Order: sequence, then C-alpha cells, then structure tokens
Amino acid sequence: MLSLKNVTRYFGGLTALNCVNLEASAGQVTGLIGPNGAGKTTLINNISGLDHPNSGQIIFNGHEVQRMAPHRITALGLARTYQNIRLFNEMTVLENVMIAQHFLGKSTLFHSLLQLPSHRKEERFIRQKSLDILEQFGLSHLQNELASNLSYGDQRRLEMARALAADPKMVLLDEPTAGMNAVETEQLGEKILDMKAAGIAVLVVEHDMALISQVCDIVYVLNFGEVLTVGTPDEIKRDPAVIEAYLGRDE
Amino acid sequence: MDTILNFFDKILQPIFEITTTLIQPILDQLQVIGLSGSVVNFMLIAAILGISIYFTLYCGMFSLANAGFMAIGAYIGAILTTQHDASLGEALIWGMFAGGLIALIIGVPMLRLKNIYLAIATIGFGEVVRILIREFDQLMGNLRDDPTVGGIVRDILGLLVEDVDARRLRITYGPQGITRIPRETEVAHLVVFLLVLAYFLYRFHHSRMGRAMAAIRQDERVAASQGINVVYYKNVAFFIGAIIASAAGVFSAHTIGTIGPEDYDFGRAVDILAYAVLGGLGSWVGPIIGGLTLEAMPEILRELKEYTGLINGLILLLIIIYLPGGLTSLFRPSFWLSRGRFDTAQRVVTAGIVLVAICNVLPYRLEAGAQGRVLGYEVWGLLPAFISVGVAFFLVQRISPKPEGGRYSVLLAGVAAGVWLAFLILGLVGQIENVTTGYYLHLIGMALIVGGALISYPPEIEAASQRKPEVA
Repeated sequence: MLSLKNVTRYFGGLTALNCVNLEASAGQVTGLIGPNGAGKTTLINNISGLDHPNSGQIIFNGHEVQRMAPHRITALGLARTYQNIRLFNEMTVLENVMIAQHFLGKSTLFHSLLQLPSHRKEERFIRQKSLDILEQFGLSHLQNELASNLSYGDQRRLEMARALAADPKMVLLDEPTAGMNAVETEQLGEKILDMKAAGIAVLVVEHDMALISQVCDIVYVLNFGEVLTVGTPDEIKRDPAVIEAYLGRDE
Repeated sequence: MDTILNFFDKILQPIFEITTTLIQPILDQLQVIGLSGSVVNFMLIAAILGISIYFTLYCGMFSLANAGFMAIGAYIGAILTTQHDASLGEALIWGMFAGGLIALIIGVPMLRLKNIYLAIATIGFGEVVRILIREFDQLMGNLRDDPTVGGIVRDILGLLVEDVDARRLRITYGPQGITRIPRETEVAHLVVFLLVLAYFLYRFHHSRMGRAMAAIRQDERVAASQGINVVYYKNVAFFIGAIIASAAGVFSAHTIGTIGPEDYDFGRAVDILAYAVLGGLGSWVGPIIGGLTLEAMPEILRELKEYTGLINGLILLLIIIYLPGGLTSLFRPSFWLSRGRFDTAQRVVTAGIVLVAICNVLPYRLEAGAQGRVLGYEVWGLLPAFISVGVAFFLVQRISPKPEGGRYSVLLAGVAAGVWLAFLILGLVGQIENVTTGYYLHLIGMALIVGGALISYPPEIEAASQRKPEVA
C-alpha cells in the first residue's frame, strides 16, 4: 500500500529524515515510535504531501506521490489525523465530516445556484453518509454543535471520524492517544483494530507502548531521522538499541 | 451578440420597471432622512463592493485589490459608453470580463502569498492599476510609435478608440479622468443586481464550494489534506470578488458621471474593507448592511462630513474590539441571550449605543434642518462618551481582572456620561421648544450605557476572569 524508499528530508543543515525505508500494507497496523525529535511527524507530513522530501521515493497505492499536492494524495485514498487536534472550529460537527467528502462530490456552484436535482441528491448522500459515520463514533447527538465546543475526547473522536469519512485506503494517526486516559486509549485501540479488520492500512505514531502492543503488527523505531530497527512489538521491547535510544546508555 | 443583448433587454426591462414601483415607497422614506438621488446609488454600490471583498475574506485571503478592479471596471465601462455609444448592459459585461481576465492572470502568482504579504501585494496591484490608468495615454502613445511592437499595440488600441493615429491619444484622459459619462445607472438596476448577488451568496454558503472555502479560511493545511484543492478555490474566490468589484466600478462610473484615477486609491481599498468588517463576516447579510450603513452615515450626519474618515476609523475600532461579528451579530438571538451577567453588561451598553445613534439621526431629519445646531452639540457630546465607554470596557475586559479596573471603568463611564449630558443640556438650552420624544430616548440610551458599566462592577469581573477555557 505504502512504500518509502530512501526518503531524505533536511531543513537547512539539520537532517530530519535520512534514507528512511518503510513498508505498510493493507489490513495491517504499522507502528512508528521514537524519542521526541526523531522525525516522526516530519515523516507523516512527507507522506501526506504537506511537506516534500529532498530525495527518495514515496509510493502510495501504485502512484509516486513525493511531489504531489496534498489534495491529490487524499483523493488517492490517504487520510490522516494530527498530533494536536486540528478541526474546523467554526463549523459544526456534521460539517466537519462532510468536508472530508468534498473531493467525492462533483457539483459546482452553478449546480447549487440552480438547485439541480443532481446537486440535491449529492448533498443528501453526503449528509446521510456523514451521519452514519457520526453514529459509529457515538457523536450523532452532537451533530449541530460547533466543533470548538466539544470536549477533548470528543474532538479526538471527531478527528478520527473525519479521517474515515471518505473511505480511505490508508489512515495516518499522529499520536492519537495524546491526553487520553487508559480506558479511552483501549477504546481507541479497538477502533484501530476495526479499521484493520476492514482492510485499511493504518500507520500509527505513538508513545504509548500499551497501545502499540495492543494493535501493531510491525513497529518501526525512528531515531535521529533514521530507522533504528524493525520488528514485532515484543521484539522491539527487548531490543537493547531501542532501550538505549529511549533511556540512554548505561555508563 | 446583439440578439442576445436584445433578448436580455426584453426580459430585464419589465423586471426593472416592477422593481422601480416596488421600491418607490422605501425611496420616499429614505428621502425624508436625507438620503436621496445618487446617495442611494452609492449605498447600493457600497453593498456590492462589500460583497466583493467578502468572497476573498471568506476564503481566508486578506486582499485589498478590489479598488483596482473597481477602477478597471469603471474605466472600461466609461470608455465604451463615451467613445463607442455602448449601452450600460454592454459596458457592464465588458467591464466584468476585463476585471475577471486580469484577476485570472495575476491571481495565480499573487495568491501564493499569504496574510500580510498578500495584503501588501494587493495594495501594490491597486497602485499599479491607478498609475497605469493615469499614464495610459502617454505610455500607449509611445508604444504605438515604436517600430517593433507598434502593430500589435495599434490593433489592441483599435478596440478602445476609433482614432488610433491621433497625435495625442485620448483614452483615459490622464489625471483629469473621463468626464461626461452618461449617468444611466438607476436604483432599480442596482437593486436587481444586489438581489441576484444576495441569492448567489445565500446558495454559496450551503454549497460544496462555500464549505471548501470556509475550510480553507480556518485551516489551509488541514483543508488541503482533506482533499480540497486550495490553489483552485483561492483563485475562484479572487476571481468572483474581482468581477463583482468591476461591476460596482461600472455602476459607480455611470452614477457620478466623472471618474479620475485618484478615485481608486488606497483609501478606497480601505473603505471597501470597512464595509465588510462593519457589517460582519459571519453571514452574507453582513457586507450588505455594512456597505449601506457606512455609505449613508456621512450623508445623515452632514455636519460631520469633513470628519468622515475619523468617525469611520473610530467605528471600525470599536466594532473590531467589541463586536467582532459586526453589526449583524446584533440580530442574532444568541448575542442577547447567552449566559453570564458580564456579557449582559456589554450587551446593555451596545443596546444603549445603538439606541443613542439611531435617536441622534432620526428626530433631527424627521423634523427640520433648522435644528442642525442641536445635533452638532449632541454628536460632539457623543464622541467622548463613545471613547470613554470604549476605554472603560477595554480596561475591564482585557487589562485588569482586579476590582480596581472595574472602579476606574465606572468612573470613566461616569465622566463620559457627564460630558455627554452637558452637551445635551447645552443643546436643549439653545432651542428648548424642540424637545421631542427623541431626547427622552436619548436619556434612556445614556442610562443604559451607565447602567451597563455599573453591572460590570467587581464581583462579575472576578467571575469573568475565572471563566477560562478548558485546558486539556
């Protein structure tokens, strides 16, 4: 589904990513861990097109996407969430989910001006689908609330709902459990496993090892912009190089 | 082309006639308060200009290019009607076409800029247009006589003037501008145009495109990764704004009858921005109300006409601080009903200011012009009141969460009230026979201002400072 080949990104003299190779396939949850500043978010931004690598190749769903504009990558079936929640705060919960299906629609302003049947049908379809997704995430009673009025947990859930609204083939989750308690984290883990069961490729950046062990099939460890090791969650936990990266060397 | 125009003429003519009869009673009322003739035209044109900048602002772009597009529309339209005997309809179509074309050409490179950089670039565009128009005849004359590009320039100029070979070209008439433009714009034309735009805006908000633009305004990067083509929609918004501004330019040129390059300077760009900000960007009604109000104000407060700029600035400042939603937020039930006594105080004050403002205008114009002096005193009395109350609330809200801030604010509001009352009494002493209900309403309005300031006294201030947003 997703494959990175020798992806390198530097900002001035600072190398954020150095020859990163990564594979993520459908129906599998890929974990990405690493200490702060290891380049995890840079990697996610490069995949989703908000940033572009200096060299290397990113292949998503059979297309080279390293130079593509973000909206086109999204149209290929990529969705993401953000480390610090980024919702459209002046919009209602329902509109937030509807906006994610923007590129699926075809109606133009012209259709809307004349209230053509095709436009109304499309609006109804998008609205219904958005309501279904809100129902799934238990947010349908809040549909007309402004996104900014939601509680923190609900905002996280809404962001996830928005990511899944357009039937993506792959979802990037950037620290989805930040600020959540143990129970909420576990519920989120269930959701991730649901996505996996639905055949969606999931790439999850996380610090919470409990969640990583719960959901991940394979884990990449990033340190100073380089892939340190790859393995199953259990292997990673025992790997001395990983422990050293996180805790430092024992003198 | 002609047959199409004739066809439209046949449809539109009856519409204009019906509109004229329908709006006549409203026009009669407006005349009573001093808004007549071309002033109404200018108000409606201001509303159209407000809408033109609304589109770019709605998409999160701070563009001040609309004065430039207005100039393009005005000049193209005026050249066509004065030199080619075109009708207003043709002038409108070609003016909008020219504005839209230029918007498409400059939009692609310019809209890569953001925020303040875009603002500066668009101000630059406006200035370039103004200066090009001023020097157009000279410049084109030189290019025409140039051996290499002369041929092409001649062809292009042929579209604008008949006599390309005249020794001195006369197209934009330099700094003097074009005079004797037929004054063909009627109120009905503008009302119909505005209604069409209003319908357009109403649909736009609930369309796929409207949602996309709102998303871009709120978070461009997230919008992009939600599958929205940011560059495309920004250009569309810029384009729509440009053609609407060009249309306003054509209408205004055919209202005044005389245009010059200096009519479209930086000041005009700021005025256009002011229309939208005053009315509020929360809804499509905002720029319309803002444009109508701001353009009507100097006519109503004729005594203060010289200070229009000062007053407009003051109003804008107050609106941005206290009514970020613009005038339209006053019409929202939520503005008056949401909880919290501190908010109540602010609302009471707003109601007071609105009431005082209305009362200052209406009794005067409804009775007779002879009372002009009374109005002069009142309005001058109002200014310090506005400023003091503004400062007072600024202190309460922003600077001091402690009780002292509240006391100072009440003191200031008290001083303001005193000053204002003194002026009012001065006015009344001068012409005591003219006491009307309007003055009682004045007093009520003033009482509301003072009362509101009192309600915001210490305990509520403390409560307000504790009401912090939830930190996750």
